[in-house]
This record gives sequence, C-alpha cells and structure tokens, in this order.
Amino acid sequence: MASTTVGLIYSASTGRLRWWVIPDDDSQIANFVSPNPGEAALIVSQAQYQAAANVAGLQALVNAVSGKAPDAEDRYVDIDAGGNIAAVSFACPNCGDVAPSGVSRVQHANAEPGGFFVGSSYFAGRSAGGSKERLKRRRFHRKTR
Amino acid sequence: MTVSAATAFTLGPGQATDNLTSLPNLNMKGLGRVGTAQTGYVDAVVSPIFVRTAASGVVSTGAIRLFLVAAEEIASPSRFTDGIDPDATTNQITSIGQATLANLVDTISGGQNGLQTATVYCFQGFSVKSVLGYTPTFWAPVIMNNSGAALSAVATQHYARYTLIT
Repeated sequence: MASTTVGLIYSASTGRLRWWVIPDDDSQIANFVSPNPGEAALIVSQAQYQAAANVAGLQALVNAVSGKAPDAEDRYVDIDAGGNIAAVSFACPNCGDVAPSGVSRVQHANAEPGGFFVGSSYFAGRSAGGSKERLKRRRFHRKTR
Repeated sequence: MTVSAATAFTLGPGQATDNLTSLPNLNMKGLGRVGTAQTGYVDAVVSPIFVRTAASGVVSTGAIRLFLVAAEEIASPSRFTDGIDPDATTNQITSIGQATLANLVDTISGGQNGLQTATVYCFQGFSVKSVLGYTPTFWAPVIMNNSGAALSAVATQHYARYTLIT
C-alpha cells in the first residue's frame, strides 16, 4: 500500500501540535488514530503536509480542525530551588507532560532563562534600561558632543 | 584626591553581624550602608566581592546576584531603593522591584558548567558612580542568593571591601 497520508498528533486540550507520523504505507496510520491520553489525531494527505511547508503550517492545519489557536497558554517555565528559570517549554499536563525532578513548573507567557521568581513574581535578569546600558549611552553622548 | 584603605562593610563577612556568611537560599541581604549624612565624596569603589557556594545543595541552574541600592537619608521605613533595608539582618527579598533590578551589578551563574558546589566565585568590582551615574549620600551592596543552598558558613571564604575616594 502506498503512503498518501500523514498523522498529526496534537493536544486535545490546548490544540498544540505535539508530533507527527509519516507512515511507510497508509495501513500503519491506523495505529495512531487513537494516540496517547490527552492527545488527538488529525489525518491529512501528503499533499496537505507538503503544502504546509513548516511546523507553523502544520499547526494551522490542526487549528482549522481543533478550533483552537494555541498562543502562550501552554508555555511553561521550570523553576529551580533557587527561584531561577531553568528551562522553558510548551507542555500539556493532560497529555502526561511532567516537570523534571528538582524543578517546579508554572505557566508563564514570557518568562525567560536568566530571570528569576520571588514567590509568584517574575523578574527579568536585567531590565531593559539597566545600569550598564545607561552608562554606555552616557559615554556615547560624551564622545559625540 | 585621597583613596581610603580597603574597608570592610559593616555587615560583611567576618564582622560581628555578618549578612553574607551562611546567607540562606532565596534570601537577599545588604552588607551594611556606607555614607555619612551631608557628606560628599568623589566616588566609592567596591572591590571584587568573593563568595563561596555551599558544599551541597547547589543547583547548576542557580545564580547569585549583586545589586546596588541607594538613599539620601536614613529613615523609617527605609528609603533605600525599593524600600530595601541594607542594614537589616532579615530577608529583604520580597522588597525587590524594578528599581533595584535596574541596578543589578553582576550575576554569577557559573558559566557553561553552571553553578558548582564548594566553589569560590567573584563578582566584578565597580565604582558606585559608574553604576548609578551619581554618588548618593548612602549606598550599599545587596546580595541575593538563588544558588539553591546557603552560602558557605566559613566567613574567611568570602570577601567584601570598598575604598572611598574623597
């Protein structure tokens, strides 16, 4: 049997594309229509897959079916014992995604490594107008006067 | 101009009250204020500050951060940056805000290997005027420990001093 389809596996709760399957032949795709708990499958044609061009294109195919457009609601940061951001990931707890040991995982739309948490408050590693940047600007202005 | 001898911070390592030695994880404390009311100075230079991490419990993704806070008068409540009291022995971490963050002088994160246990790290030295752009009447370094464990309990393994230029 020829391979004419591709299976796109996404989170049923968030709509985020998680992985996809390109079978050797179409008979294999049946194994993936009931994926892991929390996941759902979308079977598309090889032509649709190739037209999608990239992950964003595949996500758009999923969005059209799921009715969801995942933004940052499934973006998580892993916080170490010192309150530092150890990692950033897209995750779906309903699909069984768990944080690595030694960190706590919280949803956050824009926290980045280098930043830290004090309780539930996030602080970037350095503010955009930090002292070094100000100092550089001062020096620049002195030279150009 | 005159440069003073290197002077220990009043709450620095080895002092009668020592805020740096054994600084607990998730704690932020000042090393004691420097300055005298209505007394100006040309600049103050903080020597590279050395800190040693704990023998265990340090997380590789951890960090130790050095901030500079300033004030023009000693008042209650504290009028240092964000209301942080650099003379307090209590944890000041919940006072941190964007103004303090703007004067984050240096972060120790251990580089590519991450933060290691039982290791001495060094913050860069700096002049107060170069960081703030002015010389406040009162200032103090403040250290935040996000290493995952208390800093070394041996005072001589840390170092924090400054000189005053008048």
